[in-house]
Amino acid sequence: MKKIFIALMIGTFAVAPAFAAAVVGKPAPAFSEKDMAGKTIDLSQYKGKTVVLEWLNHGCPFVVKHYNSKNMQALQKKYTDQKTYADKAVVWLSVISSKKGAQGYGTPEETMKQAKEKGSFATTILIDEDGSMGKAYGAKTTPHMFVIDASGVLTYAGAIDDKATTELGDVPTAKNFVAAALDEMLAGKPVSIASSKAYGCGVKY
Amino acid sequence: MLKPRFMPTFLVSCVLSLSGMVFPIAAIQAAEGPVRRPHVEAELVSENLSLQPGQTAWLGLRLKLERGWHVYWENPGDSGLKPELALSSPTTEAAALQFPIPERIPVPPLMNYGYEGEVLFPFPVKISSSASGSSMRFEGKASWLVCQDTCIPGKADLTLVVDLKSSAPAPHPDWSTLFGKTRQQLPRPPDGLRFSAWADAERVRIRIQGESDAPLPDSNLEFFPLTEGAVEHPAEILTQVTNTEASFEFKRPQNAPSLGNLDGIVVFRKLGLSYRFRAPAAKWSADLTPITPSSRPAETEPRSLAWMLVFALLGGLILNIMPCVFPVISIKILSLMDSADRDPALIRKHGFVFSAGVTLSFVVLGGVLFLLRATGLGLGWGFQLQSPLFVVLLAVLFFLMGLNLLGVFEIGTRLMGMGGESQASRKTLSGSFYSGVLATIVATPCSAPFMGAALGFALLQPLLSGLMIFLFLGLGMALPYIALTLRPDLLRLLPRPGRWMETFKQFLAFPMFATVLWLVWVLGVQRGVDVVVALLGGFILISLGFWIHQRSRQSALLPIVSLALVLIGVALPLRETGLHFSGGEVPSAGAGTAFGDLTVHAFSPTKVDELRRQGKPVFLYFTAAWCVSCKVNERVAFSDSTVIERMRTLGLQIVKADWTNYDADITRALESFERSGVPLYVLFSANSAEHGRVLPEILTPGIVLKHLESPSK
Repeated sequence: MKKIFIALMIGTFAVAPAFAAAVVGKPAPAFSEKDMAGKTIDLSQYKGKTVVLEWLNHGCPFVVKHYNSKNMQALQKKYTDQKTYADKAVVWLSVISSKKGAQGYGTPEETMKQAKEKGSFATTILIDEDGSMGKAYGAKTTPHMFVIDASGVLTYAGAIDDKATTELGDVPTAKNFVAAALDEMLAGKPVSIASSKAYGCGVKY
Repeated sequence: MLKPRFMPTFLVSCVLSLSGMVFPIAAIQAAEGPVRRPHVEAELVSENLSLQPGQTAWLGLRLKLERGWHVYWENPGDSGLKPELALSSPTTEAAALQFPIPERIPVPPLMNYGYEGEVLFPFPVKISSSASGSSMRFEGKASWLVCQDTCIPGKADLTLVVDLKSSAPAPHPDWSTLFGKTRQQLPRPPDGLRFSAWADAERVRIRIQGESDAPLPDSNLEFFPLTEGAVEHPAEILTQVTNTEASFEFKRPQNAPSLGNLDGIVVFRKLGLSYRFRAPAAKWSADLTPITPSSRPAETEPRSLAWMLVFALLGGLILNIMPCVFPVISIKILSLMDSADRDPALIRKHGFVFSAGVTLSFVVLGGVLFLLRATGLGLGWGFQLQSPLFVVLLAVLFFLMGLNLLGVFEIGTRLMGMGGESQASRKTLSGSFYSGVLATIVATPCSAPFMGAALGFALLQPLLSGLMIFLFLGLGMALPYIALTLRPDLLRLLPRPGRWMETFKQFLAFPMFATVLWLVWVLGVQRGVDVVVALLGGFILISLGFWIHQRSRQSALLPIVSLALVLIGVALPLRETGLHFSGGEVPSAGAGTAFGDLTVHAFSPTKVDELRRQGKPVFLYFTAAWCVSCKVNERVAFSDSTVIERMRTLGLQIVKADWTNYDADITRALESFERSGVPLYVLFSANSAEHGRVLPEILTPGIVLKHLESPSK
């Protein structure tokens, strides 16, 4: 309550609970969250792998754009493919930080069912019901994207592409920042666009 | 000084070539008029009824939003998207929508910039001088993102047909005012203002100065950034405003690129003007003086002292008809009527002394309150009643007044300056003074409408202006009395004096006893049944003492006995309560039948937050056993079965903050709403992004239901 009062007192100049830092070039914040299968997923278990984090809410029109156009599934499928990339295949974690009852939230069973319906190729989907992981990363929107390299360092944070719209037709012409970052990392090059302003719906903390 | 003058320069950027593109009205395209979409009504509108070839006309995209929904500014903040309009006829360009002054819309932990209610995005159109035909048809596809908790993208094909006339156009009766109001807000070039910016990876500072140290036109400034990644939108903004310059300091977002130019608009809220600027961001300099976080709420209208004095005056005036004061005032007026035919000068003198008694007591009370607060006690209005000691004394006082009114003893008449007997009243000016003091003392448990705001404001003021407010409260309360003494002929409007006055005076003893009953109940809630019994025992001794006193004229011993009895009568309950200020360990309940069988949560500083986190609407109410208005509201508004049922279906979570006893947390909570006393009612919608809404201090079931139906502001 005190927080509400403070917020009221300073009106809309409210102080939001401080986001912890997920700074490009620095080690990515550690996390340990339950996934849709009930397994606990810890960042440390992917040491040596490239990890992509995708903030997800299927009720958000910006997310809908990337799933209905199959853009997101295609990215997931391509970069997690063991045959093409062998041990360089990425681990793709979709993260739902919607609080219980809010848009995008689902029980593990519902999330599993929805992932199947949407044709997700994500390695798994994390259910961050209390928003702790989202806040640790400063995830603001869906889809907010993060890329972590094999040594655990954050290499990209921001939007999925440069077209902040809900138009399906914009997907083919957009420059995809995540694909660009992953391609550069696979080629052993530094990521040229390491951050951008994430667009989309606010995460429903 | 900057003058609000409209700069046509930015029109130039947006010129549509329209030659020869005129369509007959009979075209088969989409119909004109507003288009309904989920939560949005969209329409293409024109400022004027007709267009004139060779002139620049203003058209606009008008969006009317359902309550609680918003659309976005040019820079939507952390999430969202600005609205767009793609014209398909008579040109295929995107309309250069212009954006009026946005609001900050917090959606914790994010921040958005946008609009609620009705908003117009105007754009200028240059009508070719060779345009011909009887009308012009505009068509386009508007698209927007409308959000509450969730976001819905919207689209609409809009059509507008406007007559083409060579004569000067007449303003559109529906829209010209909206155009005028909106265009006034559009960002102007920064003439006369100087902008400077400094930034590093952590923070960015922007400074706005008037030209050659001219004063800024308005001290209520806001800054909205246009440069992406320049600021962390939801973070606290450090603000410092002086007469000639304003500085804002923002946190930079994580992973922010280094800042080249800082673009944004500066808004002068009071004037309703905005200026667009670009300032090259210099390297952060160690010479910049730090801005300390201001404790003043930056966004709320700074309420002027003058307004609060008016509120105080009104509140004081209304106090007269509150149940605790009414009998005292009635008696005072009765005494005045009795002497209405006598010396008007003397009457005026009495009026003055009585008013002085009232106002002085208010000021003293205010002074004591400030003094106690300075020692760190979290106190507010009505604080005296948090002390059982004071409640006991007040109960004894009211009891004695009741006895006196019934005529059980006479001495009190003069002693307490009740003025019931004209004889006594005319003789003793001090009597008038004390009845003023008495009126103030009995007024303290009451809080009249308007008083809450004024008192809450008073306690946050420096001592002097705070005391001014107390002074005006007193003046307000004395006002009817002053009026009556200055214009005694007003008294003739009242029934003629006569024997009914004596009867009425006796009758007034019963409201007094009712007040006693209530105070006894307060004490019982604070300290339990033992103290109540001690107090009632005290009443017996006191009345016995006065009864003996009446019969003791001839004896030398009996007055001593009677005095002893009265003193013991007062001491008895005091011994039980103890002489401590604070209320004690017994938590007060006393919810009565309010809210029926709905669960009432007890207040804690985190309770409301906790419930809202679960997505529940919350009704927070502040009450105290000694607060009459609170109890009346609880009986009338919150015991009504329709209200209770409505609250049940809404799943409203009720949180009760009981201020009967001293409680620092609750005092702080009250202060956060700029209040210093009870009652206070705050309704929070299920949307945790929205602020609570404060309900009026006097409630009926109808008022409560009205607020429940429209939980957003």
